Parts: sequence; structure tokens; C-alpha cells
Amino acid sequence: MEMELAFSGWSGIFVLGLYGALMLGVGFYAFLRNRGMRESLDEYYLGGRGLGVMVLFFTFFATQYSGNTVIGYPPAAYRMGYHYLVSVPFFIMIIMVYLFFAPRLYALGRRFRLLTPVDWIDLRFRSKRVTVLAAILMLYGLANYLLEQFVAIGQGVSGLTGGTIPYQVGVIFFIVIMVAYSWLGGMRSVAWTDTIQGLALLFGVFTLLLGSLYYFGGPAGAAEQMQASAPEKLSPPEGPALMRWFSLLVLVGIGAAIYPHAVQRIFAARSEATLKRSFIRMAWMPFLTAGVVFMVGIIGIAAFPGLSTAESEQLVGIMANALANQHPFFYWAMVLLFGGVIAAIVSTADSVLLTFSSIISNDLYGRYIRPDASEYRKVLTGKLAGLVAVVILVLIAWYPPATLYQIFVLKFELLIQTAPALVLGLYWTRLSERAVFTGMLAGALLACLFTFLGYRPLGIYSGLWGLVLNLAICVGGTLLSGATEERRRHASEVIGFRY
Amino acid sequence: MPRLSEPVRKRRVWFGFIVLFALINPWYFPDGVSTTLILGVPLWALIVLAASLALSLFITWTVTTQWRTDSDERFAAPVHDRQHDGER
Repeated sequence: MEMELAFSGWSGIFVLGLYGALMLGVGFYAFLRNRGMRESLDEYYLGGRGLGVMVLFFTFFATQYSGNTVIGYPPAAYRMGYHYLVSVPFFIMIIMVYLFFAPRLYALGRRFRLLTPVDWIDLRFRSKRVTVLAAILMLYGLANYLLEQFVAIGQGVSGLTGGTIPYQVGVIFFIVIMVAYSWLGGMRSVAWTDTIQGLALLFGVFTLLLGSLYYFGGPAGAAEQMQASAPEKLSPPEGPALMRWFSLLVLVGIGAAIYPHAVQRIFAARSEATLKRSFIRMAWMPFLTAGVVFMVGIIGIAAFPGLSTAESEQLVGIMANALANQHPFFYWAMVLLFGGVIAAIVSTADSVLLTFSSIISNDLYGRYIRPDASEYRKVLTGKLAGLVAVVILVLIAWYPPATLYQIFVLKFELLIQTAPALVLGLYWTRLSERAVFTGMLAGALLACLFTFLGYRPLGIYSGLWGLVLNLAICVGGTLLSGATEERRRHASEVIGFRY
Repeated sequence: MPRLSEPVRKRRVWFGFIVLFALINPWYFPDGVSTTLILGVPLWALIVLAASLALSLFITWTVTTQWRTDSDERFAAPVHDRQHDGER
């Protein structure tokens, strides 16, 4: 993700400074409001299981929509035309997939006071190897996800300020602020800042759309341009394009719904009603976010025809620059938009970091290393481990290794391998612990192997091949030799409900 | 035992999701259909958008009516200072 906005050097610095101060202020406010918070895992990692509709909604919003939605999606729409309309339904798919496991997981979270997705896996299978493997896969995937956000923050900051702030300074500034407010207020400050960041982003994309419609014209001009130069961008996708549409719907739907930081938010809801209302809002958001940025990309086709692939990556920057020159209102709106983009990346990063720390605190340190430690100590360990991870990731972001680059791109490929344990375990008492472990391990190894070799049979993504193998082993292994009588009894106690 | 009414066990929910999933994939438009534009937007894209709206509506219905547990009553949520965590 690259953007060049040479026009907004000092005003960019001003807006970024303002954002930073505001986020720190939120952290202090959360700290002062909840003095006892640092003593308890529940308080620190789940905001005391008390997030209301508005805040819960925006914190879900931050896990799904990042700066990349605004910067990366319009260029894709520019290049693919209406074939990229898939970006609207795929965000709706995420909520649909949630409905297949969230109701039950919420009920279990309340009953057993679950804190992390790994906590659930441990309760269900009571198996050290399954718990540890799931924790490692999640930590690894989350760390790489965080790395990606750090790189994006640096590029965004130096782009927004026209290089006035170097990449490294931008990264350090926002990471220090992010860690500070996370430490001060835990999940509360993360969720509150998500709310501010989400509002800034929404304001920015709407202004961008309205300005583009006003100055560059609507979709009719873009349609004329496409008819003349690339009519296939206007017609329904066929063959490989249709296959791509379909696999994006499936992949994004399943993938984004089972991100650990997304799953953990189910436990943070104040009540079932709160969670439901947040989900309903999320089901309509794709039209206001993905739909809006899609239209911006389409308008770009008429406004700036003939950009190469590399040039089109700068589309949002080009359009924002053009708008900013039209009117002072748009100048400041575009500065806010880019501030909002960076804020959105920070808000995705803080959620990931908090979940990362919680898995260390609760599932590794608190469960196996020092089960008798006080909650205060467990929280502290999670914070420090998160800090160490951040320092290592920043170093990797600055000195990217020349070889073995692929080990840093594995995210989704590994995270998705925990899905069978998370979801099948909710419904199937016979599901065997051995099959789950073998499937998860084999799926993860296959996904890694295919990624390293750059191997994509049938054009299907390596993570999905891993998942297919994983599921086959889980289901096949269980059918051949199901869980023991005692394990089944335990499972029935945990997932037994009256319907 | 706790009580649970969930979408995944409802045949109507599965039916609705399968039909709507089929509709948000643009496979059903006749080959070589001349692209009709409405206000500059292809008709097929508007139909897919309408199907997406229908999916959001169906999700709203499912969440509202097909999902009910007694976990809040049974496992009482901790009491909170409602003013300070953003409830509207």
C-alpha cells in the first residue's frame, strides 16, 4: 500500500498529532474510570464483558475494515470494473458465517467465562497438545497480521505527510501510542478508540464519494469509458472470473469470521441483545463502506482513464489530491480521510495485539507455566510478551530478511486451521481429540508447504487446501474411531443444550 | 441444562442462506446478454446488489427471531457502570 499526498505535509502532521493525542486521552480516561482493571483478565482483555452496542459494533467494524479497504479496494474496482462488486456481498458473508457458531459460542462464553478462542478449545477437548498447537497457530498468524499493519502504518504516514515524516518515525510514533493506550485501558480503550477511528474513516470515505460524484461525474461516464475501452468490465463475470467471485465469497466469509480477535469479541458483549444488535448493524455496513469505496474506484475509471496497474494503486491518492485542489473544505476532508486511514490501520493492529497478549496471558502462561500466578501477574506477562513481540516485529519490518520471506506472509493460512476445532467442536460430541490434533497439524503443514512452493492446484488458495485436508482428517478420523466414552460425556456436559 | 434456539438448527435459515448465496453469485445471467445500463450501472450489478440487500435483511430477521438463549438470565452478567462504556 503506497500513497503520495505531497499537498498535505504539515497539515498531515497536525492531523496525525491530533489523532495521537486523542487516542492517548481515551487511554487515560479508560484508566481513570476503571482503576481495578489491571487486576483482572476479564477486565483487561474483555472490558469486563460489558461492551455496549455502539462500542461493540465499532470494535467488530475495526476487525473487518482496515485502511486497506479504503486504499486498496478502489484500485481493484478500477482494474476489474463491476467484477469487483463482489466486495459488497463478501463482507455480508462474514456475518452470515458468524451466525453458524456465534450464538452457541456466546452462550458457552457466558456460562464458562471464556476469555479467548483457545480457552474454548481447551474446555472442549481438555488436551494439552490441541490447546498448545491452536495457541501457537493463532499467535503466529496474529503476529504476521500485526507485522503487515506496522508496514502499512509506516507507508501511510510517510505518504500522507509527503515524506515529511519518515517511515520509521511514523511507525514508532503510532506504535508507542497504541501500546500506551492499550496498557492503560485494555479492551475498553481499544474498543473506544476503534469507535473514534471508525467514525473518522466513515466520514472520510463519504466525503471522498460525494466530492468525486460532484467533480468527476457519476457512474454513467465510467460506463461509457468502459464500453469504449474494456466492455467486459461491464458484463457479468464468466468462467474464471465467476470462479474467483465464488471463491472470494467463501474464503473471506469463513476466514474473517474465525479471526481470533473477531471471535474474542463475542465474549466481550455485555448481553446477548447487544451482540445481536451489533451483528445486525454489521450486516448492513458493507453498503456504506465497501459499496462506497467500490463506487469511488468506478468513478476513477472515467476521471483518470488509462492508468497502468502500478499507477492505479495510487488511485485514492490521485483522486484525493485532485479534490483537495478544488476547495478548502475538501482539502481538510482529505487530510482527515488519510488520518482516518491510518487510524483504521492502528485500530486493526491494537485489536490484534490485545488478542495476542491475551492468548499468552491466559492460555500459555496462565494455564501451563504459572497456573497459580495472580491475575495481575498474568495480565502483566501478557502485556510484556506483547511488547517483546512488537519490538521484534518492528525490527523485521525495518530489516526484512532476504530469504524465507514466506514465513512472514503466513497468516490466514494458519489461522483457518483452527476452524474445525472451534466450530465442529461446538456441535459434535463424538469429535475425537486425536483427529482434531492430527488434522490441525497436517492442515497447517500442507498450507505452509504449498505456500513455500508457490503451489496452487486448481487455482485454489493454499490455506484452503490445508483446511480441506484438516477437515477430512477430523471427520474421517472421528468416524473411524470416535472420542472415548468419558470424553464424550464431558463434551455432552459442555455443549448440551435444551432446544 | 441451558436453553438454546439457534439459526444453525433451523431448516428455514439454511434454505434462506442457500438461496440467497446462489443469488449473490452472478452465474444466472444469460450468456452474451447485452448489458442494459440503468443510470450508468449494469442491470446485473443492480440485481446482485438487490440480492445482497435481501441477504442483509434475511440476516436481520434471523438474528432477531431465530436466535434466543437463556444464558444472560442463567449466568448473570457482571453489573456494570452503564454510563461509561458507550451504551446509547
